Amino acid sequence: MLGDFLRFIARSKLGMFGLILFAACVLVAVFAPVLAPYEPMQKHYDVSGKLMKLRPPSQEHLLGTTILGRDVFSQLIWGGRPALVIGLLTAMGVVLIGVNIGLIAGYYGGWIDNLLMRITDIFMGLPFLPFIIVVLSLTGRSLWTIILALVIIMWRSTARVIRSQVLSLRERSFVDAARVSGASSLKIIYVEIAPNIFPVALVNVVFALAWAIITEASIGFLGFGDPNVLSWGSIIYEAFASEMSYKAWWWVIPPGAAIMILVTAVYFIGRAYEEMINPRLKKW
Amino acid sequence: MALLSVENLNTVYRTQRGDVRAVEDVSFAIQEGLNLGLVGESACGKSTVLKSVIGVLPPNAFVAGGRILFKGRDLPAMDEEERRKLRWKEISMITQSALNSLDPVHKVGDQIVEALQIHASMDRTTAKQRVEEMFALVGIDSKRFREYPHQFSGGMRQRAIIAMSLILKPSLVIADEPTTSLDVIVQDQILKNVRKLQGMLGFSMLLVTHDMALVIENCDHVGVMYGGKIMELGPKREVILQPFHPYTMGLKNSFPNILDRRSELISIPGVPPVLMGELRGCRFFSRCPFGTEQCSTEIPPLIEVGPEHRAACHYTDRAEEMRNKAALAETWLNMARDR
Amino acid sequence: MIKYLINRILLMVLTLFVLATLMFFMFRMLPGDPTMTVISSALNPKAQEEMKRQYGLDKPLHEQYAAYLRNIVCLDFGYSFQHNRKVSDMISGRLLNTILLILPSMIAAYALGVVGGALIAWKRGGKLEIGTVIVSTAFQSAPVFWLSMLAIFVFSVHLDLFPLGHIVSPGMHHGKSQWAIYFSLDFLHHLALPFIVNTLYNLCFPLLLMRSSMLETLGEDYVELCRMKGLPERKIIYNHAMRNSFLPIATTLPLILGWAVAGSVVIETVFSWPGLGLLMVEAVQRSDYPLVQACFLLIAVLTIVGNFVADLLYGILDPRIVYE
Repeated sequence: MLGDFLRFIARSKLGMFGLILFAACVLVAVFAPVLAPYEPMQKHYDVSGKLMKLRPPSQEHLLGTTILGRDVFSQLIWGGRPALVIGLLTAMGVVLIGVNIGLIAGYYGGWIDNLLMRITDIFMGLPFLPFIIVVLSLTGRSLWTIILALVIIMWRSTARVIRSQVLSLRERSFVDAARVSGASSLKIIYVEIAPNIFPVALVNVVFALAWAIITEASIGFLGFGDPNVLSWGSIIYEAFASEMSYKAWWWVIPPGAAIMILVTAVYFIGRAYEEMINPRLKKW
Repeated sequence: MALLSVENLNTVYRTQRGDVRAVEDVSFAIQEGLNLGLVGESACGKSTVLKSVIGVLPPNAFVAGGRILFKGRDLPAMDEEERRKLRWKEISMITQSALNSLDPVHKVGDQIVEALQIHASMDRTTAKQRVEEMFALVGIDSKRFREYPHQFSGGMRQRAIIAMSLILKPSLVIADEPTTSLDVIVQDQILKNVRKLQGMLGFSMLLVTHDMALVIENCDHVGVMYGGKIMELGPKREVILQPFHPYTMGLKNSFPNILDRRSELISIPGVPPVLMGELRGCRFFSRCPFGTEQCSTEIPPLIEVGPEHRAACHYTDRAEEMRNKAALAETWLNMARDR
Repeated sequence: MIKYLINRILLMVLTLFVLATLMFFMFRMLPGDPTMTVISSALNPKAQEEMKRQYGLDKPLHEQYAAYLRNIVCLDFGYSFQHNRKVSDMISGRLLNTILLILPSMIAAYALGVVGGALIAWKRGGKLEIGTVIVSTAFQSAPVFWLSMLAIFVFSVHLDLFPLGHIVSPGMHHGKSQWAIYFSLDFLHHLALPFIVNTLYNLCFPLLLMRSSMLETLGEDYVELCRMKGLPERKIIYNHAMRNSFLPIATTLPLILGWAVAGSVVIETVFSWPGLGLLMVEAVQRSDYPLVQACFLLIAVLTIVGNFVADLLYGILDPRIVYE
């Protein structure tokens, strides 16, 4: 099924473009130790022993230095890792939980459906960034608590969408056929229905990934990210907190642009796939 | 002068893989007060003919040639704004899937009032009255004026569509498979109703369907279409009882004969052609048991075979012989085997 | 319709109740002394004892819970650690600031987005459509705090068109009443840039969604019938296509509200806009738990009420929901 997905994407120019960009970001993040010219946290001093703080881009420091004399370019390269790790793990978690809840609620209906949908409705009422911040303030800030908080907030829309898909699939004849042939409910859900909701689930994975990356960046920007981890959001946080950000454009622009490029790539992939499933959107 | 006269109509769909000649060189005429039925398989071009006449083609389709004369005026040549004013007022359409033809967020009555307001500049009260009168004529409770489409049953929705298409008292009503989605009994009721209204309001009908029986019951003239072209055209008695085109003969076989319970249904093997690229000869050649070399290279012209009766076949002089052979199942099955 | 309304109201109340309960338990699950989240450890022990008794913290859990709920309804959120004032005194002004920024910009974003999306879908094809889709996607992919910083960089620092942040110029409004300040030109001048950034950022989503929705609607049978009815194109778009296309957008309103509120936290931080979001962030940074709790509850209430209004709106727009 993943092969189908890739083949679909390849047919759209935009999708292909997105896929290449995304792959590039992943490669840069994976090969960070090799690609970065310096250690991201290393402070740099010039020949006279002075800290090279807030230096504009130069040959040794392609994107200049931060207020603590660190190389921005190296930070940029390393900063992609948490975005991708958190993003991908969150997306997987969201889809896992969301899809299962959607399948169960949609298939069984009745009070199970009601209960699960009420729970989803209640979660809808939680403003997500404030909620995440509050959770993090209580549980401490680490990569895993961030992922957990993100997943708790984000599973609800996937669940809703999958549920409505299942509701319409449930009435189809192949489900009846399976029921008549004595298949257990679980088997029907996971062997018959699940493969049919795969395209919708996949679209949700992609968009969940985009949202997770943006939200993670916002968390980092507000200073609530994992203190031991350098992310693009936290780079901008440092810049903003130093109150020197408006003097050092080289410090602020690249990490934000990186986030924009990565998320745009993900969105392009998602849209391309969405268009494939729903051809009326195609052909501009 | 005929009410509607279609002359050598060519309609083309422009697709990514090439131009599809959905309607090619189609000509027919409808007189005032009379009905014409167009029959044929799916994708034979009949719906495209309708859309060309009413002028609502998808953005990638266009009339490439020919004329559509309505009361003497060539429709495709008209300015779009003028044509829009004619639409519905003079020519209206009863669509196929009434399920989706009504806007779900507006009340049914309002959607019909809209037509009156746009074309007849009627005020709302008068319009509402007219709609309620029309509802009574088609058999809908006037209370339902304020209801939404999803509150109507399938049959009622179709009646509403009919009410909407007749509200401006048009001269020509086009019906595109008007009863396909309904069960036979409702079908019958609705068509009887339409015939009654026809008697009262005096419009002509262009009925498009794949159901030959519908045409026999409701039309005066029949046109048989295949592969985007007219194969046979004429008064219904002549065409049905004495067809001159092999395709018509084949169609006859596919309809159950209630009087002869022993007869088998014989279907025409094969599939309709793809109407793209180089096409030579008769469109029906690949499925015709009587096809010859000439048929595969020369397009047969529509020639007169009787009063107002025309057929597009090279061998109309051997029609009698073909008819006899076509009535036998082997003729069709052998062809399938040989090809 | 009444049934629908009651249904939604009940949901709203239930959500608020569950939320409050959730908060109650979350804040008491901290390791260590659970009273840490209510009473400042900076107070001297005697004052702490006083407060403990006042807030009933020496009583069993279920009594505390009842007291907690009662307090919320009376809008008593305790005392801020940092500021040593009643939380409820601090919040109302901030709440207004947040609403003044977020509400107009969300309305503008939605209105512009919906209209823009419909326009783009109608005028299919061509560079405009492709360009708009790409730019919108890229714009909503960029983090809003970064966009805000760029905006400040270009328009405030370099072009000096707008102030650098905050809600009013310091010292300008000595002795004036609250209302006078809000109606002043100075206030509007400070509001302008965050308003513009927030609006532009938030219109991308409805724009793209509306475009997709319109493209689908324009292919529907009833739109074709409208054309056959001889309706002028404009009427088809406004009366039929847009109303139907808007429905899926309306269902996303609660989602958008969630985004808006989240965005408010970030935007207020960048622009130093003294709203609820900024207050919450500062409170969290200083572990001022009563303040955190109150801010969060209030933000949640805003979101939930917003969702309720959105649900109502949807009920009005889609007759299929109500006339079941």
